[in-house]
Amino acid sequence: MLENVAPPSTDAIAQSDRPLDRRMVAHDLWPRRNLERREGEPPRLPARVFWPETTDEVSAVVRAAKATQTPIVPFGAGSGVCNGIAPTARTWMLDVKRMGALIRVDEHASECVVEAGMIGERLERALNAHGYTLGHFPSSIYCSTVGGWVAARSAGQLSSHYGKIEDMVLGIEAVDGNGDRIVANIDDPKTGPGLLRLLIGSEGALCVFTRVRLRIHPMPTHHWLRAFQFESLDRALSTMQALMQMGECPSVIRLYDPLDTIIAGALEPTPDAPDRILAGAISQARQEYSGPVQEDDDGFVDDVVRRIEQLAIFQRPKTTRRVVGQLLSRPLIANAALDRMGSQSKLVLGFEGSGDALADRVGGIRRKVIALGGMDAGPDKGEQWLLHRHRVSYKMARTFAVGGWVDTMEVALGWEGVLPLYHGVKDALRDVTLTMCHFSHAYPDGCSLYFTFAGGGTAGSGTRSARARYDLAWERAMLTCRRHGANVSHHHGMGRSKAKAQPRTGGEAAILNALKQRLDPANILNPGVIGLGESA
Amino acid sequence: MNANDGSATKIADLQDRWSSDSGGQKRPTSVDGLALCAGLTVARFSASDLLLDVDGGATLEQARDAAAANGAYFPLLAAPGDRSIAVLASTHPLFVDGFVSHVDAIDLQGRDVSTPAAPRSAQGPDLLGALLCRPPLALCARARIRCASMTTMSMFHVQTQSADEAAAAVLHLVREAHAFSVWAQGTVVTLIAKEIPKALRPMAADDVAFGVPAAAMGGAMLSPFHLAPMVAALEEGAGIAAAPQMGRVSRTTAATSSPLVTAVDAAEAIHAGLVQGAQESQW
Repeated sequence: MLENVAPPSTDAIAQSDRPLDRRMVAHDLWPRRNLERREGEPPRLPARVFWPETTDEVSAVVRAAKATQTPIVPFGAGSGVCNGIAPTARTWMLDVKRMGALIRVDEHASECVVEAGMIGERLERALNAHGYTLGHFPSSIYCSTVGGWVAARSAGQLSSHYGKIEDMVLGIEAVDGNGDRIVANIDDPKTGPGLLRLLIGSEGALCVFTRVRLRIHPMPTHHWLRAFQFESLDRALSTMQALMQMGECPSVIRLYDPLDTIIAGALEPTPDAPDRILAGAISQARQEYSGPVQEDDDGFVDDVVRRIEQLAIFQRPKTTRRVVGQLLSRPLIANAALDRMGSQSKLVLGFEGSGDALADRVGGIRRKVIALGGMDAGPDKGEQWLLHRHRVSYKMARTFAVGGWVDTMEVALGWEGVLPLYHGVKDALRDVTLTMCHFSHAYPDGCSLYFTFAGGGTAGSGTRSARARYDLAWERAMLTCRRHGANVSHHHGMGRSKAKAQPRTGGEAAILNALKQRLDPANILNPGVIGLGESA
Repeated sequence: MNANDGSATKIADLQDRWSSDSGGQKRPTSVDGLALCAGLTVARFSASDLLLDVDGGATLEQARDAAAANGAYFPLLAAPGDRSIAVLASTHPLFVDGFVSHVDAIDLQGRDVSTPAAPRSAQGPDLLGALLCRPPLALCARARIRCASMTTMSMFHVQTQSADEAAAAVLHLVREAHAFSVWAQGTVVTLIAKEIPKALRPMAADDVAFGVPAAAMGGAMLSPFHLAPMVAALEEGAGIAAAPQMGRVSRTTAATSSPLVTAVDAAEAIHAGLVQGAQESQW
């Protein structure tokens, strides 16, 4: 330990400058970092990591950092994907996971207060013990914290009913760049929703979250899931739009584009399958399968390999795997082939509530979806989604292992622009990546498009390198989104990777810079993230 | 700014006047300065997204009429129709937080400020509430407002027996999240929804004295699932407005006019509010 580096006021706070400890918090899960690691480029380690246990300890570390002009970066579980964590060699990391307690549950108000470092899945289980749910289920729930959710404006898989995290937050306690404790509450006229919204999404640039006050819901007693297949993506999107504008607010509404539908496997019509209303909330169903990836679980590449083998193009898995790796570097050929494989799209719908209420509703909803062009594929395919609902966060490594790369992009737009944006992004990336998309966060006025794109390339930094192709894919995708007037981030945040693509200008820049200057006058809080403050 | 030609010119003129130190026109110091914009009207309705683009100077009555002409409900059920959208936005946080999806505004230095387009984003802090609510940082030149289709939703009235029952009905509607907009006053609950929940007893629209109280202009947010503050509000004669699909609830208060402030002054006020919030909170 370098005893002379840390100011005396932080001596009593748990901390370390050991390389392994610094390595654990050196960056988030921005996929471009995986390319760098694969090619042997070492990560840039911060100077020190602190593990505060109280708000006062966070204040002490921030004050010490301010006194020494040391950059400081809050760290939750590191599951961000937009380069929000990019310390320099001088940076102090503030790992808040020791602040991981559920402080209180107020059943009269249906609220809870939780420390910012609590892992999401632990919070949900703790609330379940009280008979409540938060209703927030990002696929990263096992490896993300409440503070991280609020920092990046996260959305969960049941967001069409329960909302995004910013809808759930009723209050925030934080420490600003002066080391001052600050609080905003939605029902406090001095702060209200306006100031609360200013802190949410700040990604560590304005303050360090220490506690969050959240609304909670009584646990639903029953759920219903069902899958439908549509002949075209267009009709399926229109059905989503109609359901949301009728105020149905399903807990699950997930539409897969043709490629994603092909990979998941064909659906069979089962018009006579009865409605199956099962006990328990969706979040609790098949929980034993829903965690991090099993040894035999498939990744994106494995899915493609399996489908190609089913089509009997190749019979030897090793050969197929090598071919798939090469196809990622020649996506034009792969995309041309995939375009011919079908246009059908799968929609999964899920509702929660009491058994009686669901029995009253779901028959009408099923008939409505069929009337809008859906083919009823029964409950099994709907419930199958539960098996894999949290695994996507753990499935990317195998694509990197075969020499490729994969990333995801979640953007949002009004309904009238969704289909043009979908085709625009697919076309823009046609010669760079294999691209598929699902639509899983829907609102009456639009929805989120969640693209998954996989590419290849050589090592190094030449024009045919994986890094160059990765950068080219993102540049084209962001440009296309901006041309279509889409929001470039729906729930992953901006970090540095997206902030670069969407620079702040005019009055927005003036207001946020003034706020940064007042809350963080020394520019020590995660400098450069979301385009605020000069990078350290 | 997606203004139509006439509006764009007028807003540009307004912006020029505000940004010019030597201009003959005095820079407005409150949202009442939006009277300068009076006469601007509704710009666009998206039938696909159910969004109404309306100029900040348009009155609520104009906005309601425009929504109705397009077969849609304007979201706020009770508010005086002669006030402008900009004034409403500066006094009614639920309107902004629950029903405004996007805004084009002009700050005191004459700079454009636009929030992300619909529907939702994670592009850093959301300026919407801070821009428009007390103390407003900017004048609302154009707001994009969420509406509901009259072909899929209708207006219902529910008669309850007491303030407790009325508040419980609001809470039920907010938890279910199906209704688009709710207004409660006394023992009557009015909602825009596809259907009326079984648990609630409908009453004929003719029986409803659906007035527009002057006090409906101001608002204070409530914890959305907390029954007691809703009961207290109704018992005190206040109204309750709710945006169930956003999980937002507020009570009416007297409206107070706030001066416009610069970004630097606003940052100072925001910091002071956050620190004061910490001193008074029970965390």
